[in-house]
Amino acid sequence: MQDMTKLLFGAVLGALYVVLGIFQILWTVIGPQPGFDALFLTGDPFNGFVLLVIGAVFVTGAWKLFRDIGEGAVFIYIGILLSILFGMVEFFALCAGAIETIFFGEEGSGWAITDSINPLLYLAAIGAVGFFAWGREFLRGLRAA
Amino acid sequence: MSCVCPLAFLSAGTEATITEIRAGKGMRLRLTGMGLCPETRVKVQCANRGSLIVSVGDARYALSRGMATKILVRGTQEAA
Amino acid sequence: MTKQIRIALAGNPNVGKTTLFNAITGARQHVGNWPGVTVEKKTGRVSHNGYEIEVVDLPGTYSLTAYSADEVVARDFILEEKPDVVVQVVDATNMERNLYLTTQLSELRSPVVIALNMADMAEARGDAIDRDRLSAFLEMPVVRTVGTRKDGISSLLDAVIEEAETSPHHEHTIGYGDDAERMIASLVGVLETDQSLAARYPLRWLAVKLLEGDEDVLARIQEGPAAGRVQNILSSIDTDGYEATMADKRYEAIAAILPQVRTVNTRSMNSSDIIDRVVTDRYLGIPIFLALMWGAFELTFTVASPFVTAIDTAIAWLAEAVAGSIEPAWLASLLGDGIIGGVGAVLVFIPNIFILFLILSILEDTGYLARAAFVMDRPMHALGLPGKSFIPMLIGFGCNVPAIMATRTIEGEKDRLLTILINPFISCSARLPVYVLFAGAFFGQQAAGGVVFFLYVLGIVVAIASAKLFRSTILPGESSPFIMEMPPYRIPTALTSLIHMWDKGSMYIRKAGTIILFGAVVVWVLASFPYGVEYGSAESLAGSLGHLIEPLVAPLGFDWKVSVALIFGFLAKEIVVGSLGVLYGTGEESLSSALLADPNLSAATALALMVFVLIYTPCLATLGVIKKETGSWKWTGFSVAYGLIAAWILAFIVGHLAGIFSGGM
Repeated sequence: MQDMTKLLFGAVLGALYVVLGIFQILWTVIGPQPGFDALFLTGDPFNGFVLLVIGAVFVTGAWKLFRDIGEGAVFIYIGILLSILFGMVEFFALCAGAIETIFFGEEGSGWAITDSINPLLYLAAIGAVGFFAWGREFLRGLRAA
Repeated sequence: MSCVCPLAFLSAGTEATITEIRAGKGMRLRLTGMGLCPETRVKVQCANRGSLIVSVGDARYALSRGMATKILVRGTQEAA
Repeated sequence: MTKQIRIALAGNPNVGKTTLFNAITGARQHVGNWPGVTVEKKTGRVSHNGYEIEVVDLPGTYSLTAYSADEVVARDFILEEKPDVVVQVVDATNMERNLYLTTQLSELRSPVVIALNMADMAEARGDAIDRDRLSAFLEMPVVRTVGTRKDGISSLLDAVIEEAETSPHHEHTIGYGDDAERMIASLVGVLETDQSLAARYPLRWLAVKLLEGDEDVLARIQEGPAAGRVQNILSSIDTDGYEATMADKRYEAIAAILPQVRTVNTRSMNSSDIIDRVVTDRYLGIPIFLALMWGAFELTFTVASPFVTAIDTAIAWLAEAVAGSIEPAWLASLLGDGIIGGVGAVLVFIPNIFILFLILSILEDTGYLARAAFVMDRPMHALGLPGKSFIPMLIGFGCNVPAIMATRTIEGEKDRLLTILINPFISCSARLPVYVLFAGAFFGQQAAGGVVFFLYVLGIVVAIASAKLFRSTILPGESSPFIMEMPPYRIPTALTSLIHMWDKGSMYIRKAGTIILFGAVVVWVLASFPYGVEYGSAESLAGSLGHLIEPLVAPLGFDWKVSVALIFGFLAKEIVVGSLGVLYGTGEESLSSALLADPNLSAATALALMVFVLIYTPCLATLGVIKKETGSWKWTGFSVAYGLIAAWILAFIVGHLAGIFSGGM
């Protein structure tokens, strides 16, 4: 049963990462499209590439769990880890942006949190849910490594 | 009991016993220090691309295929 | 009165030796080089129970043969310097291989104390090690330590002091079997006739090494009276055979001890293997690696940004304060324009450099960097380079100096030389300000990013093309086969990663404090003399120098000011910006508008200039390290000449192509 949850989690989150990654790259090529403001797409191709990679790890995990060929859960764990890692990278970048604007910003150029939000940041929140669900199991394994 | 073959030919997940290391003295002594010497059991963990990862006891080594062709093994068996 | 003891830390690579060293000595350490070789030497001090203990960190080695610089350094230190105690750091999760080194250390007749490190990991996975029995078998003290938590440091130092005070010391040896023992006995008999030899070295160890065919030891006895008879004995036997038998006997001895002192919790696959299945996956391995690298650079540039701005602001303020308050005017000019301006231009990058090194340290400490080298082996192999050379290339984006030092981990001499020679083409962060200035001024905010990206890619392309070229001409051959340990994954501790970062990052600060300070003063002097000329004008020394060079670079569209800046850029590439600021007499603030207004400069010329700055002669600090690491003026000179010629040709091509598209240069 545990595996079924992981499978669904990996499949859904993986699909989200892949779709948003494709959007990010598309936006670079064809420019921002109307109607997607809520997704906070930045049109950064590298950002899109990272989204695709994380998505691929999740999808691979879900696929392996589905086919029951073993090691599927491992891919889900690493996917969660990558998700959180890149969420943190973006979070640090956001903080740095805020600090810079507050202390050294030129007059009138207000800093808006919405400028710094991107899919890597908010998808990490979902990744974090997975971490709280299975993180103990995973970290125990790592420390014993 | 299968015959002697280079370590490089083994697929992931197989175990074997080293019989001989065909390398210069310096390399052979180095491998001995790392625990890769005749009569030890090695397990191929991963055999992707140009190189492979083997385990000897609890140590993991990455070695290039060139290196792995110089290490001869016997008694190959699929690990459960 | 405090007593002095000197101890040496020995052990395999990846056993947490550095962590333990940091835990013992804290901040009281010094990093240098072992004389004559490019192996790092770390020493530290600690006071314990009235003893002042000097700790020397020996290079990590698997054994003590004479076939690698690391092993020679380690064994020479123990033999020649005779430390009071050798502490061998043993990885409790990997005893067989670690104890192999122990068998060799004990033959050197130094007192040995075993630090059974990472004991927590062994316990966590269910292994139980009987330390008292192990100690009884080895006849040396065994102390449990956990370097990452500083556990057991005090008891380790207690044991070290006790061992240092114990004498005479009991010698523990391994029996190599009747045949080998007979040979050892006869060799010892012969060696005893050489008085000076017998006084300096343990004879049994010499005999064992001679039997193994150790050329370094053979050379040591060559001068003595025993040489002839030793040769006689050795010529009658097969040393290869003995070497194999003795290695077997050592492992046999270990195999006999281990089951009696350790109960192993059997398990199928450990977590490291599990993680490796994902990060070394056939398809996902490289994308994951690239994604992580993107993350590293994102952090390096965005997170450092506020710190960079802060330093920039502080330096600008300082320069202004100095210029406005100091008399006479020439001194104010030297301090403000010359020193603060020049050195400041470099200090601005410190946040970037430190963050990059911190990230690389963390990646290294978790064990991922070894996997990255494995994953990149195949693509790198296609370029004729070993996977390991990827790490120096990566560090090269930060600074080429530590990058070239990092090539020490590459085994093959040709592979190493090749990696060193192509490294300067990787665009280091010092070149970034030049790009930022010119791309920003001539291509506008929108296109500037693309131009900078193009330069980074061009650097990589030049590096790859050069690697291919060198492989097929001056350094022929395949990249040599490699073997590399994959340390288990660990959660890095903040302290270790920070110390690691500091080791590498402080090199950059030292560079700023010495060579760049010197460069800034030279630029200022050349721009200010002969006395009375306008600062940085065509009549100054700098101006004459520029006019001298001008004909050489005229085909590229560069005038005398650019020539001068390029000459100074040889000291350090970031000086290009500072010296242009000086020569245009504007400072860095309004330099970009001054550049735009210069009729001699067009967008195409600016592009050619950036390409030239990317590729031409590595900076002085890099050349210094190339000389040191290759040990050859020939290769250093080659690097200068090759860089200059390649830069000239490529700048010419790029400049003229850009000129055609944009309508004239």
